[in-house]
Amino acid sequence: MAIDKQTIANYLKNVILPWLLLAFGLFTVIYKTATGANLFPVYHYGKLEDYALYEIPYVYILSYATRAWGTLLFAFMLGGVIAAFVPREQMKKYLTSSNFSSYFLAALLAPVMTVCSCAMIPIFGGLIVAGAGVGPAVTFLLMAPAANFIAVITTIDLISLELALARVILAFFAAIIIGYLVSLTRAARAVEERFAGVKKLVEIDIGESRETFAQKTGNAFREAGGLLKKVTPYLLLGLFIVSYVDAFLPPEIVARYLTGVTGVGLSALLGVPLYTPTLVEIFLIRALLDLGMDPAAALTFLIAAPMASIPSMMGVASLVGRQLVFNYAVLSIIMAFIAGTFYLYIFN
Amino acid sequence: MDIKILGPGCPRCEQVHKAVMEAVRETGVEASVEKVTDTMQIASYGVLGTPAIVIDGKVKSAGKIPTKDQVKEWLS
Repeated sequence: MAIDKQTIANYLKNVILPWLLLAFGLFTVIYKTATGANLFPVYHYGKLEDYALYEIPYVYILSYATRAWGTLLFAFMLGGVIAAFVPREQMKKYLTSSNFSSYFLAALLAPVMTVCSCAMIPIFGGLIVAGAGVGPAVTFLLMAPAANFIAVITTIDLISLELALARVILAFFAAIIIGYLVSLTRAARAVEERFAGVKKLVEIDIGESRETFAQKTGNAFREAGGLLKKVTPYLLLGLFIVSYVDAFLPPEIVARYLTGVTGVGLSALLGVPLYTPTLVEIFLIRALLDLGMDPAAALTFLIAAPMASIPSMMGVASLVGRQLVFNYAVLSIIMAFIAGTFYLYIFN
Repeated sequence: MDIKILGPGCPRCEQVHKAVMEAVRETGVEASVEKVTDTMQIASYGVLGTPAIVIDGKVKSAGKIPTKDQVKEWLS
């Protein structure tokens, strides 16, 4: 094929542009971390109570849009790159070895295997069918949303590096312990017996290595676009609600219920109905921290909420039954409470 | 040709469905395209990622959004 203008234009658009966007997003994040200032002007709304009721969500979203767009750009592009470049089929053979190391691998690989939370439940089922055992599959299921790259980057930017790290590390150990404990239950054995009857229907014939760099980059770009399309409506709706929480929730209530051990306990439970896998939880926690929430309580929420969220539990229950879901959900809340209490006494 | 698209119905699955439909139309191959949305059924393919494309019993892609051109290669 002769090199003409059309080819060059396509190459620029499909290969150069995605990497430029990723690099630019990363640059805004580094710039902000290094200098403490934003690269581009940020809109400040001052005090929310100075605005009319209908103006509050508008100024709130505008403020975040000017403050967080670089981070979100980086996070989503990175999500796309991970989805397109990570050879997941090759990971399967490590995950399905039945020794104890598969728990660690499940926890380590979970974040790079699911950029989109909607894929989590089918992968969970796929792992069991592929022979991974219920324990490591549960570890994967719990770790994936808690250590999702997009969520971690957004947490670092909006909350703090310390809390983001604590979230990932404590979720890592919690997911492994819960996965192991769940595998000992009768419900887990029942699931394993039932899945042993499900034969794999097909052979896998994925030419991951045959894809060129340009093709993978194109995939990464489309992937990022798909993620953005999925998350944006929920994010806007979530911010709309969070803006009113920020404006009207009295700090006295936050001080009374969301601090100390009470705060840790309540946060572990609150996450169950409040969590949505759309980054909104990070903006909500940011608002609550500003109103005086204990960082330990925030951490508890961020660990418990994605592990025991209602939409994910309903999906998993349809696959492996309610008993198993109940077991791991209760364990998640307990583990998050322990992790939060640990953080409260070590770091406060 | 028997094409199955495995996915719980997120926007990414729609993107894949669109790419497959266009590839089928443009190549003119005789193919039945079916969306598999049931989690248990998706799981039974043992794929580590959705959306996945299964062509004549072979998993061609999982957890990715391939282009129309890539799909065309699999169809030929």
